[in-house]
Amino acid sequence: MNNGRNYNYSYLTLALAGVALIVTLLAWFAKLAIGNGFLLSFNPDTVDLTLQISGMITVISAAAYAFMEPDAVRDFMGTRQARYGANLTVMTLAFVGIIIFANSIVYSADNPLKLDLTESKENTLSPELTRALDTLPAKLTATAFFSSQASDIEARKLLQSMKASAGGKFDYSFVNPDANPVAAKAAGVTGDGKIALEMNGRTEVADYADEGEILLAIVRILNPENRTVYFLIGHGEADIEGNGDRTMTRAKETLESKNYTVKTLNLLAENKIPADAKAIIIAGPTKPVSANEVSLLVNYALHGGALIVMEDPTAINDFGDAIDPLANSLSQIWGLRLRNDFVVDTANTSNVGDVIGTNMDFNHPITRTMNPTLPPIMHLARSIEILPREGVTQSALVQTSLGYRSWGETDFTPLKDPSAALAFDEGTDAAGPVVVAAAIENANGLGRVVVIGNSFFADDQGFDVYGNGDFFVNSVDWAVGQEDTIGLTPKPQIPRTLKLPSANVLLLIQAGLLCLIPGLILGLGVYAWAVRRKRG
Amino acid sequence: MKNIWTIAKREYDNYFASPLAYVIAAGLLFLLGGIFLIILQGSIQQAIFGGGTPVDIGFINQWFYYLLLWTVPALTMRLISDENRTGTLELLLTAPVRDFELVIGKWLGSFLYILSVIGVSFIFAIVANYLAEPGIDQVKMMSSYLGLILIAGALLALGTGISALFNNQIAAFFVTLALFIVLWLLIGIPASFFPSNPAIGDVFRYLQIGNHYESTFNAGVLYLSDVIYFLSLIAIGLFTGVTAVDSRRWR
Repeated sequence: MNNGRNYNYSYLTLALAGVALIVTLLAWFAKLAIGNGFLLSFNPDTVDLTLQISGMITVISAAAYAFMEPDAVRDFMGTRQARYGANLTVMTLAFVGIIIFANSIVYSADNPLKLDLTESKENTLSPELTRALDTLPAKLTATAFFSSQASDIEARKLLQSMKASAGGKFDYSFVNPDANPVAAKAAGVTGDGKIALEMNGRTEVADYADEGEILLAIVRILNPENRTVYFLIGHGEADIEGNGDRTMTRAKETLESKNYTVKTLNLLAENKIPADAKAIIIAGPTKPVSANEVSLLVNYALHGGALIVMEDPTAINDFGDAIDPLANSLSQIWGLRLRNDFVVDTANTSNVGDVIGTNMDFNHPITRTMNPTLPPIMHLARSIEILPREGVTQSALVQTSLGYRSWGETDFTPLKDPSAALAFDEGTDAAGPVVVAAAIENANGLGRVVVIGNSFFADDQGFDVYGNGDFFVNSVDWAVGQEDTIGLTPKPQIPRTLKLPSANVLLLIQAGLLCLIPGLILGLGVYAWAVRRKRG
Repeated sequence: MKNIWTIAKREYDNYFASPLAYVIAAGLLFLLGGIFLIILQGSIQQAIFGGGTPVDIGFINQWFYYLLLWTVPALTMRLISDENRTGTLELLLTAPVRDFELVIGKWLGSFLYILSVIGVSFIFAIVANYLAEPGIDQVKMMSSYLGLILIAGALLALGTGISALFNNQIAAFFVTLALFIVLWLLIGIPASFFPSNPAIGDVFRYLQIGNHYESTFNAGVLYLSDVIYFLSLIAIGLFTGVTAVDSRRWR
């Protein structure tokens, strides 16, 4: 400070060092951000150069200050504060270093130390999955698709346990399908909370984070099997190729990315069902399927085959008043009667012809994993009546919601003339909630049929809307028996049930927990306060 | 060691001399009792149709942990800041007590207080066990309590450390509360901003308290990393406290 000549300049160098330090920090942050996929409009080379130059200026100007003001620096270094401060800095750095080191060592260990304390070992992988992971022939990678709406806690726990158990042959990552829809599409994932497993270029999808489901996907990767589904053609069904009016290329692509082989079947020409058909999809015929074909299809479904029937209201296809042998057989054999109507659902106030399928059967494998906030949405559906039949397990998959008025409208005039009023007619119209999608399984376990009163939800315009694609793919998966689970050794569960307390005991518990314990503590408090007051 | 124990005991007695401690203990147990009864009621409804599940102690302790986030700042705010304000810290510093003994003693006193409340809350486990056939999973329940105790220790240590930084207990309260809210909720948010670099996301997720309790301790599975995490928080809190007290000698 006593060197007056350098006084003004020395402060300039100190200010310069400060500014350069700030620039250095900003550049460093920018570099970090670019490395993580942000601020991509910045040129990384420029950022690097800025970082180097500003870092150099910081050092040089700080050194220049020390050179010009050696006394000030020495004075500062000599103070008690500086000595203690330096001491403290070193101590803190060492302490933080130890903490970070200890945590990272323990966290990043390949085989984390873990103790399952539960009596039935509910946090330990089943022996089958452990064995499958032990004997993996190549590296298996899992990509879990969880949006911010789905809870990923269970999935993280499971995948982490798998990684710990596989000894380097398994790794996983999480992807938000909303932020990265391309990755989800490429893996053939529709819907939320699914896990794509990949090995040697082959991908299989586990529908939810569950040991059995993941083991099944691994088994499917290891033993690729024929999975051919056919789309029936010849009656004006939606096309799986090209770019015409009604195409289902998205459905086909998604099935193919899930390792399905998708073909078309002209039953009129071939007159027999191909032997490799795992399921036949009848996607919105505009003319009735002939009686001869129907008998072939029904025979196929009664002997282990699977049908997915999507039929639109007769007012929008060309059925007119023609006899529909397919609908008749569905009704006679399996008790699924397609009514001659269209569903009016007031849940969608702007377009009452749209069915919002939030009312799903969450016990059925098709709809179990569907997200209720992403339901299937069908534009103009016909309703299905479920009639009791012997030897058939019937499930109503999707119904119109309970909270809104809905019915099966038999009068088609409002479809042609938008000004005509829509009204429920007691007697002719079926009262809501009405079923728009149903599934049956023959009691002998052979043969599955899914009937959906709409085909537009699965075409290219509808496939990516809300849960439509998910619903379609789940239906196909179930029909071909993909949801079959592998028998895992059941963990010896200890059944624990509630012992119903008697009314008196319950009252005692209620009084004890709500009044007695808090009251006693407060009473003690008042007593202690009174004693202190008395003592003064 | 003797000094630590003396300070801890004095601090523990101090709690029971103020009405705040009674109000906090009674409030905590009242709320948790209410939650217990709501779950029990649901379970009874379920049992009428057959197969009611016993009350899950993990669920109660989960709420205990949420409530701790809001009550611990009130318990620790005046621990050291009050000594600062009234000037009694100078007296303590001249007494033959080491800085770390003072800070650890203060923390231990508050820890013993919370342990007493957790001890009373053990009644919930006893009632749940009584109402279950053939009893609840007792080792899993202990694991849930162990995690809760570690959380309480960590939160109290952080609160003690922050209390040592301030002269004003209100300031200490709000800074502690803010830190807890960050560790509870906010720190996990940046995790989703690093999709291309999952390792950085993992770091943020690791810092979040709940990830070391909700699906681990509370599900009956003990990871060494979770124990180390809570011990680290305790060490950080106490280190901050000792450093802050020590720095008064030369600041």
